[in-house]
Amino acid sequence: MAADRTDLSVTSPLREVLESREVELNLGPQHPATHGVYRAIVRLDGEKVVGIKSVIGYLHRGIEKWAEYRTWTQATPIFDRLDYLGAVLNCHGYVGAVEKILGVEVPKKAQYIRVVLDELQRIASHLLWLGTHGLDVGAQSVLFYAVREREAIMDLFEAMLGQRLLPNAYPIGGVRFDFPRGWVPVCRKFLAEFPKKVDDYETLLTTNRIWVQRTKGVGVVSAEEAVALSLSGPTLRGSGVNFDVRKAIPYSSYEDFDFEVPLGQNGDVYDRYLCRIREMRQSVRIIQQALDGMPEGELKGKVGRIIRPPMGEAYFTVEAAKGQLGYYIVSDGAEKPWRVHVRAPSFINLQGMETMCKGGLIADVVAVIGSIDIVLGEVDR
Amino acid sequence: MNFDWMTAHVGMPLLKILILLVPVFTVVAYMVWFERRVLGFFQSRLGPNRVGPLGLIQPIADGLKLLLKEDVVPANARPFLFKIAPIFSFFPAFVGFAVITWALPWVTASGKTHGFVVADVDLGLLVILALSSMGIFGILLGGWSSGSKYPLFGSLRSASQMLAYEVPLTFSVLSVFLLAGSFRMSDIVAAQQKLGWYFLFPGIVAFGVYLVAAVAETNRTPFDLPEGESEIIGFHTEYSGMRFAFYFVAEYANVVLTSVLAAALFLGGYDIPFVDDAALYAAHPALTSILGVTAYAVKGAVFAFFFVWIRATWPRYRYDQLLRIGWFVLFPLALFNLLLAALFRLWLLR
Amino acid sequence: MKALARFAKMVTFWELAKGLGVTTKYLVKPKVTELYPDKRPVLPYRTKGRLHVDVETCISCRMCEKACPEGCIKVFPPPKEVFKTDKRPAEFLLNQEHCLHCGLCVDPCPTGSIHHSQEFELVVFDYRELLFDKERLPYDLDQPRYRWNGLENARAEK
Repeated sequence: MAADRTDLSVTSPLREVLESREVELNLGPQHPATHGVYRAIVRLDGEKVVGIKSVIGYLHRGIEKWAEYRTWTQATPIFDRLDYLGAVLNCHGYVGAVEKILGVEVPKKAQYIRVVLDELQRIASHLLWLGTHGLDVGAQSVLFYAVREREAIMDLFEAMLGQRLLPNAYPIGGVRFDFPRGWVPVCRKFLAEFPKKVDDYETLLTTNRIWVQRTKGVGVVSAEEAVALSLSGPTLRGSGVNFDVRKAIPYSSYEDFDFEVPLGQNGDVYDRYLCRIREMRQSVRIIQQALDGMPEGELKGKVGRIIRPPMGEAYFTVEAAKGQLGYYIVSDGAEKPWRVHVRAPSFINLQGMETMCKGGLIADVVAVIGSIDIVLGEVDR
Repeated sequence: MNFDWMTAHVGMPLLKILILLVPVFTVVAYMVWFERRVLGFFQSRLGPNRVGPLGLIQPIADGLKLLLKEDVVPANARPFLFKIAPIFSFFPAFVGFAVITWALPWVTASGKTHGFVVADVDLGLLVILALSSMGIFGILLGGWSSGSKYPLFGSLRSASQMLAYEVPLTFSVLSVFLLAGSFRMSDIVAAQQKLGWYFLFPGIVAFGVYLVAAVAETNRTPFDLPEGESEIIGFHTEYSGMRFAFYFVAEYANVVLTSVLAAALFLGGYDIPFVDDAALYAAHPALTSILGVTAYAVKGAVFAFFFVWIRATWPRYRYDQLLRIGWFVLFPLALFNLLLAALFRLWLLR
Repeated sequence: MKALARFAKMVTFWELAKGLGVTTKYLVKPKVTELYPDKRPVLPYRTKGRLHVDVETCISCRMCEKACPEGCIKVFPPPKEVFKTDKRPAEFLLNQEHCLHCGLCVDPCPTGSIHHSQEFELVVFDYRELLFDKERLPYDLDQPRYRWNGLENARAEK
């Protein structure tokens, strides 16, 4: 597709005759398709992208600094606001890190409950990704169907945790409450109907010739490049690299569950799309296994009233919906953290923009941004 | 220069224009309502339903809002061209309705039978095609005179897209002309009344080509990259208020026009299906005309629904893929179809 | 044979037509739009809406004040002599505007005086309406706290 266009690139001899120039286009912070306040300065040669420079920081809120002025427990709610579409997973990362530095053992029952809520959040995040990605590429109805499915998950969250979007899900040491009465049958009903809805999305998109033409061969990143760029999550697995934190560095009893990690082959937008769709199906499997095998027991480990971790540092990583989310915390023995650093997957995946977009057309830039699945809250913190 | 002449050549045409304009404006305005509502229904939600019962006052509310907006002309824009560009889009979309025959004639005034058409020219179809080519100027002018990169890109893309799809559109219309023998709309409908399936059966390829080309001509999904709201916003980025309303209404008028044209060319126009129109016309001309207009409206509505349906479902093509389809797929198909139509004409229709 | 089938699918836009079928399926299904504010939702028991404080049962321990990340709560215990018998706070200031609805104040309260309610309609034109003191703090005993009886019944108004 890209080869048979008249060569009007910057180095061709035709250029002197036609006096064509590179254009710098600002895919500005205010744009319907940049998933937030993300700015890309795209250098174009006609319609072909020659270079792309990301400008971020429009949503910087000083979250890591904010956490230094709050106690360890008080700091928990702010990390929901990082990846605001996958809040429960962020919370899990932070409390996991604090539990690691404290040496607290989270009871098995709490671990299973955390797995159920995490995977529900992963489905919700992927649903919104599907909706917005479809909308960017032009399929408008997928957004509404995805949001409608998300409503069911948010209802489940509201009944269990109290809030739909930013629930501040876990206290340090476990979970606050067990499932309410009547929650598990509703959840199972959702899980029974959800795969049919995913079938609907696949009918609308996966074999659709327009979708395939728009996404196959676009935004390609090879496996070596992906690893060199530290990509993670479905962005990495679309290129065929088998790295999923839930399998590689299991946490919270993920080793008890049987699920597949979907991999792509070509590393293009289409493969990443397929990866996420299949991940949604696998999440359903995990939740069903967790609900079936829910043990009895305590809900919270032994954590004192005031948390004063010993001096030291800890790094804890979870498989967030966007990729590998890591929390690096440093404690100096006080009741407030000395330093909390978040390894935000969207921020690091965004480094791959230039590799993926170079040589493509400007319409592909939007498809690629959608396929990396960035949330500016995470990118800018 | 007597009363009869005045009535026949001035009075009646003016009356016809008035009678045509009011429904056409209403239909175009309510096409917006139709699209938003039906799009919502496809997406598991209600469309506008707050403003008036079923949201029926929504187009009026939108029109009022756009009228009351501040008139912004960007500093970098060329003021004169910026201001007149929407007119070039608006005007051809509505004038095309003048050459369409809506029903069999039954009004006689001053000794002359007046057909349900404002201007029954011999080359009715060609007039519509020529006007749609003029519509491109509005987009080009609007994009270039906005003085900013996004509209420029959008207008260039839109112009080459519309150019690319004008050709297959013209060829598919030409094959209808071959089958019917005349460019006049009433003759085309009359030619279809003899066939069982109207021109759908002999012109199935033409029908397909026409549909795809019509969707591309009117800049609708899946060919709406020039106004691709999620990418380069398009040629109307800098337009707001009533100027934007002109572009917006022009697009919906184009949709209505192409739907009505598709109904006329391929579905028999004002021919009432399953009924012997000639016999009915001899007995009750008024009833035939009224039923004819209704049948025509229903057929046009089917196409309008189809436009909204595919907007709700399919993603949009990238720009180079769009042009590739236009030139490399539709154009040969349209040429081939011309051959088919000629063969039909020779052997089947005599 | 397979090539013929693929060709037929290509020219008849087969998979595109299946996509059209999906949208048509949802065209005829019931719509999910909630007609707010004509129909108000019934929220679950655990919903973290506006904070309600029962100042009569509060013992001025100030645990909620220490737990709040935003510093929304300020509790003023009564003077020492009064405190020996009557532990109710002299003043209880709550800034609902800055509340994160995180629920961290509810966890440590020993008497359960502070808790979230299901009130979510907190939009005001003047932010001062969201600053509560002891007089304005609502804990209306008449106001029902919705009973939890399963998610199906929670949306009973549908």
